[in-house]
Amino acid sequence: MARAILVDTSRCIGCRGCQVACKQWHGLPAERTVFRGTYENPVELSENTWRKVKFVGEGDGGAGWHFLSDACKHCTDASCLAVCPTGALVRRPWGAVDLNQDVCNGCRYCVAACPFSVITFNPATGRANKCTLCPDRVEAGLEPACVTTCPTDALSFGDRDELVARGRKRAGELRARGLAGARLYGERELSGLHQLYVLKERAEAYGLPDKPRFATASVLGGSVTSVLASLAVGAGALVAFRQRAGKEE
Amino acid sequence: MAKNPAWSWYIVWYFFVGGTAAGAYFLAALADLLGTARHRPLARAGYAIALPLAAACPVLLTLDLGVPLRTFYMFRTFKLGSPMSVGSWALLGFGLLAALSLALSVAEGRGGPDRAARLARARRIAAVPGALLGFFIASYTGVLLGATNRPVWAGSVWIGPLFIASAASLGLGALALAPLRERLAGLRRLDLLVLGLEALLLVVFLASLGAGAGVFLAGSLAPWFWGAVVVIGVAAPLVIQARGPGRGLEVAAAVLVLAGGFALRYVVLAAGQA
Repeated sequence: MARAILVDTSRCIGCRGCQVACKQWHGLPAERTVFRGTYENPVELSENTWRKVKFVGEGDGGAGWHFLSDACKHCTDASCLAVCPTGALVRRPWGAVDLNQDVCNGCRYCVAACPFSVITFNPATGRANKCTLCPDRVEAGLEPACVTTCPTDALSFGDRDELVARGRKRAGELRARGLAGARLYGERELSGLHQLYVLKERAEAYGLPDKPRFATASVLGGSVTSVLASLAVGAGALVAFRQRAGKEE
Repeated sequence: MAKNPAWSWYIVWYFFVGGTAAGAYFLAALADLLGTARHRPLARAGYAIALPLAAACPVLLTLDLGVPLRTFYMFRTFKLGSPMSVGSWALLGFGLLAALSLALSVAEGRGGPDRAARLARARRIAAVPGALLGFFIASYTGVLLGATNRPVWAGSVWIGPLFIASAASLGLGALALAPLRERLAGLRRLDLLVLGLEALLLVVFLASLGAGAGVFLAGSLAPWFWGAVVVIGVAAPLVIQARGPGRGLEVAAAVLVLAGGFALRYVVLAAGQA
């Protein structure tokens, strides 16, 4: 049974409790931060910050903020997992994309592949890091640390199908209240994400790609063109090596 | 978009050394399979070039990883969908075949004619998977870059074939520098052909990028692209080789091609990590 986190951005108050709970549970150190006009910090997800709240200015002259608790999306078509050459990235039976530190060798292919700029190389360990969806907690009957902490139920954890239904209903309610762009993100993207978002605006406003791309989608096409180029070189060699002429003229 | 993987100089060198090894090997294997007795020294030289370069590849990749034993993690699993996984195994097989081919071609010169015929047959048999692996090693790095979500690289199906054409000219360049007693006819024409193919594929690759091609044509990489890749790596060797045969010209063209092949890999790697 697939499980997921549903992030309802319309309920998020930007307290960043999820961000702190994640650091606490996983023992992640603090990062040096800079004031950039908001309480949003650090600038992006990193090896030591696996979940952070993004602050998005409301736009259209509004003074408010949209908050987005950002982390790994645990994609069904997970680019990182598809490209990982060592098997360090593994799928949990309930949907999470876990990262086995002992097996990661720091090749950084996953870093270049992730369409959400999530997975990050950790220079201190020489390995990659990202949100794991807390398999240690979930498989012991608990919720992920971020979900347990969330004081407004902006984050919920449970059966993915139920959360999809709930997210769709909630997006419908928001649209009825006048938020025309409200939608559920992640139901179908990359064959379904295990971190779903109820958004108040279009995805790009939150820095989420409207159509995230599965990194290895081009492997077949690239293989075909490479085979054709090989055949062209082979044909040239056939002509060159079959010639009767001896020395260069 | 994905974060920057910071694949820097070790990887540029690996792409270059691996491409040259692959080109030298597949040309040697093709000479073995398609050519006559006159091509034997050429094939042997190709294997002799390929083996040390193939051996250098895992060293460069290990230097990039930083922790030596972690290279072996690549061999915990095999994933057909991951170019890096398939590439790791292919590099292992390629190195072993390069060693086998060279050993067989060196041994062939010793002993009686019966033994030589048997060794030649074994060498031709090894050349079949060897040539296929050579083409694979030459191109998989380009397919790997396409299978990311970085600017310029993401989704491109043209870097692999471009690297094949370039590897062929790198292999010919390395062979042109080898001390062979006889310069064979046809190699110059093959060089012209693969340089032409490389020029064509460069145009196709840039056209496929649309506005994204600006990073090569006008951005900070433009001097490298126009100067080193286009002029030094393709245009100048094309002109030199088209003028006609001559040992001095051949060596000049080879040096230019090798420099241009290195620059090509540098600009492609840098463009996706700008």
